[in-house]
Amino acid sequence: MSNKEKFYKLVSGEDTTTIKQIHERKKNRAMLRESQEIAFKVLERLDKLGWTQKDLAEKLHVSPQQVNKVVKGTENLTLETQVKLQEVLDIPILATYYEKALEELLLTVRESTAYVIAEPTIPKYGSKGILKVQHTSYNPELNYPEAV
Amino acid sequence: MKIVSIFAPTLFSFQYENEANELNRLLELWRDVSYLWEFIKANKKDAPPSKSVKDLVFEMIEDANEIEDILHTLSTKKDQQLEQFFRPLRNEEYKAVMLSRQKGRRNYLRIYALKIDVNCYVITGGAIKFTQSMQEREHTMAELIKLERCKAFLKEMAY
Repeated sequence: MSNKEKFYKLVSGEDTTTIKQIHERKKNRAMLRESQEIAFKVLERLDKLGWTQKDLAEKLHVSPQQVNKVVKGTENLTLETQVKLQEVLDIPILATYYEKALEELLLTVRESTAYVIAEPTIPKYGSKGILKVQHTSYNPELNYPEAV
Repeated sequence: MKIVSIFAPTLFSFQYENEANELNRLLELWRDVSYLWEFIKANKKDAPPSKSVKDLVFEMIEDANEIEDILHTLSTKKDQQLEQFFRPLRNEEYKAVMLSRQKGRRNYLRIYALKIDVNCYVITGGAIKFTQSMQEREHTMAELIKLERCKAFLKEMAY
């Protein structure tokens, strides 16, 4: 019996879980990437705030085990969890975070510049103006009035 | 400890007491953002200074994905061989050695294995390696010890 055959005799069996997990991970890679990005943002924020995962669990009213899953970045997070994280940690997770921030920014800009910039006016062209000339079909025999 | 088959008849893995098999354990660990975050913080002095924690975390996740794809492809495609991924642990190993210690790498990630035969390997473990030699850090030294333990196990049981 060759060494290879002796080795095969030592093998306990096939680990089907691993193959299944490899296929699952490959299939869900895009989703996992989003989850990992969120996990990193959460860890970074916790570090900055000096909070533990337990502190976050208390603020979210969830178990520390659930927070542990979030920071692993391997969970398919529900919309509810994403909204809660965004609100409690004030970090951008959903597009609404940027949309709200943009709306607030625009409002602030409008308020602060209302007294400085006058309402823009659209120039009105009269009957002798450019518009009139544009609507006339071109005839080289005629003397056209100059556009104003 | 026991040996399980991942992609028979080419790729196998050791499985230690109360653990998943080493390949699955590593592929899960190298995608766990909180683990990578803690590891980089704890090994900050060894980590490349030009890279941020975020750069390293997401690079390692990408590398883990790549290792998973490579091992899957090499183990399952008939015209491919695992030799395209695994190399002798010692760069100066030029002749065939029985149960040769091998490594497969992607940047900082390492998979360690013993070569059973051509295109037949058994994974013993793996590590994130920021230092030049394995002896320099406890966690990589532990992988060297695992390689030796597994080699001794195989010698005793089958060789």
